[in-house]
Amino acid sequence: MPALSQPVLVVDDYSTMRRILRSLLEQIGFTHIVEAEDGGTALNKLRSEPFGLVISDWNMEPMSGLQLLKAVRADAQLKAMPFIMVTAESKPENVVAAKAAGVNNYIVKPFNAETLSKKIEAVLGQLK
Amino acid sequence: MSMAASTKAATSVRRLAKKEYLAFEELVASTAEGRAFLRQRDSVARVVAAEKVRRMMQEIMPHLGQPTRTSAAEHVRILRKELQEISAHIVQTRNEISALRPDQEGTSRIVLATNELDSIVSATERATYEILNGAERIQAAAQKLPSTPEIGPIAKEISGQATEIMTSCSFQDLTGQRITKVVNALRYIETRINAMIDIWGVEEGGRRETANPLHDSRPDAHLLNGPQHDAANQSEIDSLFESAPAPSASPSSPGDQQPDQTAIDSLFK
Repeated sequence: MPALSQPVLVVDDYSTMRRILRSLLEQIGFTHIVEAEDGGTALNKLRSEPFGLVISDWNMEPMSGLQLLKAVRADAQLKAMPFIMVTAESKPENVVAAKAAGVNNYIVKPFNAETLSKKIEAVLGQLK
Repeated sequence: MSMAASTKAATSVRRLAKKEYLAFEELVASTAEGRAFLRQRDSVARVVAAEKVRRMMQEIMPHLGQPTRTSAAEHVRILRKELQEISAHIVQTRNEISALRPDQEGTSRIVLATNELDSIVSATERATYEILNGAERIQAAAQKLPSTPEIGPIAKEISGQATEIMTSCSFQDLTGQRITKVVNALRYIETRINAMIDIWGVEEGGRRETANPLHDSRPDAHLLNGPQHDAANQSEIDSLFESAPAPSASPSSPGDQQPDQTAIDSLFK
């Protein structure tokens, strides 16, 4: 698994979900995991410290995951940031909108550890 | 005079010229008896004329569709009955709305239901944390087991099952989102009821805020539907993701990029 030493930013408004993702990421081998509870907080963290991957929920307030993704892609310093959406939004239009905005992969909740691991590997592998 | 001449004389009444008429009238009116005669003649003529007009109106009115005095009274009676029924419905509606307003302690059934649902979210969150704690402790214990050929596979199986328990705890997020949707729906209903209370004047005091407090101003609000009853599985999402168009080469500013219709249409071919 590449880039395990890079910090990962986990963005979700549910603390339970952040904890689950943190635990799964630690099992995968990531050692530096940072949490944010909404898009705005995440964007501030992304602009103030280096990260190698963003795993974000979509439905958050005041800034949603899609807004965060668009802000990241519009930021010259962050536009190449690997970004995985993990969300309960499973309609085709959601997938289309997320991909059009530049998301690297899309995981629908509920998911299992294997799915998360495969998607991270695919995204970080693509970026090698 | 022959019969024919007599008939002709009777049917062809001579009309006086205006000058002759005025001269005769002046002559008759020159005496008191003559003036009395003229007044009496005029009075009889008015009565006869009025009776003729009344009869003509009775003959014409049915043809014009105008109500007679009897049917107009019937219409008034029906209208009064309808108004009484409308009034009764208004009173009943006011009473029903009044029953929905918060009681003196400021609580209503909707508020109670909302609080109960909030409690469910809090309780499941606490329970989920406890389950996660337990799963993590199991994993930590499994990692301490010796990695011998006998124990190693069992420790790995225990750790894997603990991971399954953890990922299953994502139910709390999904149920939380569903309950939030219900709570928002209840709050919307409450807002509309309060608006009706204001309109019907059921409650004393100042007007309530009738604007929708649940308005979502996020630019992607139209895409935020939460968990679906017929949610796609990960394989279907992967297929969709593969076929979805990639972002354009020069992404626009945040919040305004939308897939074009052609790209969306291609997904459904």
